[in-house]
Amino acid sequence: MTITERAPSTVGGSGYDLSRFERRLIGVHLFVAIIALGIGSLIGPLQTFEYSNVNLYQYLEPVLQSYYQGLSLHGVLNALVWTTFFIVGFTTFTTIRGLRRPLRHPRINVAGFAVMLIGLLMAAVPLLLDQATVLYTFYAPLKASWAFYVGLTLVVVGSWISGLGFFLTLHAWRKDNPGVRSPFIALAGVINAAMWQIATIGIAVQMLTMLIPWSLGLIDATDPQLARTYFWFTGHPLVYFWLLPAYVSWYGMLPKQAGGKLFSDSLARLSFWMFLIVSVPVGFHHQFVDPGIPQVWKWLHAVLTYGVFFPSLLTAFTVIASLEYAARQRGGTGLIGWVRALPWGDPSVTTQLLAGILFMFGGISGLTNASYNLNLVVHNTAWVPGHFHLTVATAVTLSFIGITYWMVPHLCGTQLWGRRVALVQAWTWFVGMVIFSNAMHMLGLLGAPRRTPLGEALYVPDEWNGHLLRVSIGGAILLVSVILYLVVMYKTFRAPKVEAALVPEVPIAESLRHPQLTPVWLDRFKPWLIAAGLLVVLSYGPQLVDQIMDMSLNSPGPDFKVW
Amino acid sequence: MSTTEVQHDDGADGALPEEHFKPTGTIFVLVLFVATIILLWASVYVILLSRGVTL
Repeated sequence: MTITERAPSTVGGSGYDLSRFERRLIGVHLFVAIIALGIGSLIGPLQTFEYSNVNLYQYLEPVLQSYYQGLSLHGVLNALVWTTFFIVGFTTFTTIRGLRRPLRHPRINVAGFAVMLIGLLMAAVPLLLDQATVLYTFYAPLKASWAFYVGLTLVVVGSWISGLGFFLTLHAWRKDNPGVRSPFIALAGVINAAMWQIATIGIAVQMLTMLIPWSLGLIDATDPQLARTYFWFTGHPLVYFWLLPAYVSWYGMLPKQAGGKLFSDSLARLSFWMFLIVSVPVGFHHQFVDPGIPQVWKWLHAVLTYGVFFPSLLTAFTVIASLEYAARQRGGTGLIGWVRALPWGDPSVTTQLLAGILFMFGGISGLTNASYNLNLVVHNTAWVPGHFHLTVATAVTLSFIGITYWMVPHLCGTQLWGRRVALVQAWTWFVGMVIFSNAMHMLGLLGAPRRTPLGEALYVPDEWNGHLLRVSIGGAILLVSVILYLVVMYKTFRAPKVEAALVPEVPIAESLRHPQLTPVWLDRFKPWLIAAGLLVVLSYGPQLVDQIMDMSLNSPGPDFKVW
Repeated sequence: MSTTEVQHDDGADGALPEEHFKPTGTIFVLVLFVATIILLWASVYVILLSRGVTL
């Protein structure tokens, strides 16, 4: 193909150094994220030890007053705070570095961070005071302090504001570069921000029309069915909000780190656009056993959930092909033997490879969750946390950890401290999660309920005991891994500055095919946004109208604390 | 892998550069993956069937 349009000016890995302000803005996002991961992950093993009847909560009073307060902190800090702050910080980085230009309106992004931080502090106070022990799904009629709801709302609003900043920056770049394909890592980050803005409409409506007025005493009761529908409108695409930044790294950065190239720029973009379309209209697969939703709508969402499998398989193919290309370049041979040629000595690469391996199994258990009939076997069992610890707690979190292994030293002007320690961290996470997650899946198949302090349960049959012990062993190994990670981050942050040539470079992968050969329709927002909007209206509209028309605010919540 | 499986077009005569690569190992990995999906999904389906019907 000959050049028919202007050649892109931005391909490759160098060309724009972040300003001090930009480094600090991204750095404060990462700082909050890592602190949240540290605190949240240190609480997690307490739950796993409880499964073996080792109750450490009694020694932590009054800081932690119950299993459920610990579970709420673990879920909110890890699933909502660590992820959201990391993602906004990382997307700030990929926008600036991908486009090789400063933010168009940096004050917007500063405002976004400020609103998120204020929201986090507002939500943290009731959480720590045991006034928001409602788990990270905050199902009504469990009732939290109004500050918790307003705080979480502000975190989301802050991420919207930052998303606007990313979009305006990309828009300005496009005006300056007509006819040029947007750099993949920048475009993909903005697509994720757009998906997030559509997806969070559900939770925004839930907060503003039901939970906040209820917690303030302006209305007397809630409609739990409608509240759950609003929540899962946002709750499942939340998974893709977490995953897509990891995909940005797997598609756009990991191939470079492995010594290769992105196999297909077109497939990478196509999968992101497909995620934009199919991420949202799938929420009813979380409500398969909710009695108030007609079966036809559950069936429709089950089918659409299987639709998500298509871009997921595209991702698996493209990322593995990119890695295979890299491995072949490094002398790898054989049908499967090439895997050994990947740079397993690089902790940033190893974390992401291990994350990808476990994610394949997370995808399989996810397909089981999404199957209308099979869901009956695993619904509300320990299988479910077993599943999402393979996805958000490994595919996402371990990938984000891998990204920080080059990004934090890059931002700080240092080198990664303790490469071997970081490698041990990656493998202990992998081994700990294999043990933990497999045991949780097995417990789920045996009927063990989720969100239950099984150490106190009187109905535990003998056949559960071995698996409960394995959950605790996995948790202990994961605790070691988290501590190692925090040490590596602290030491890297405090390490002496080194000359620029020794600082880790930004790994931006080239594509096997020049990006300008990617079809122009894979670089346009309009058709994909229209398709996404239409599918949301068709898949949710009539059923949401029905539920709102039939809304019955008759669930005041218990007049006592259930925890 | 023989080097012929990676073909280079270095962009001579105004063409944009592109390489062609046959990801045979990737296809093999994905075949294993799909087989694992079928196996594990079916194992849960058998559990579902073994629990019988509820009326």
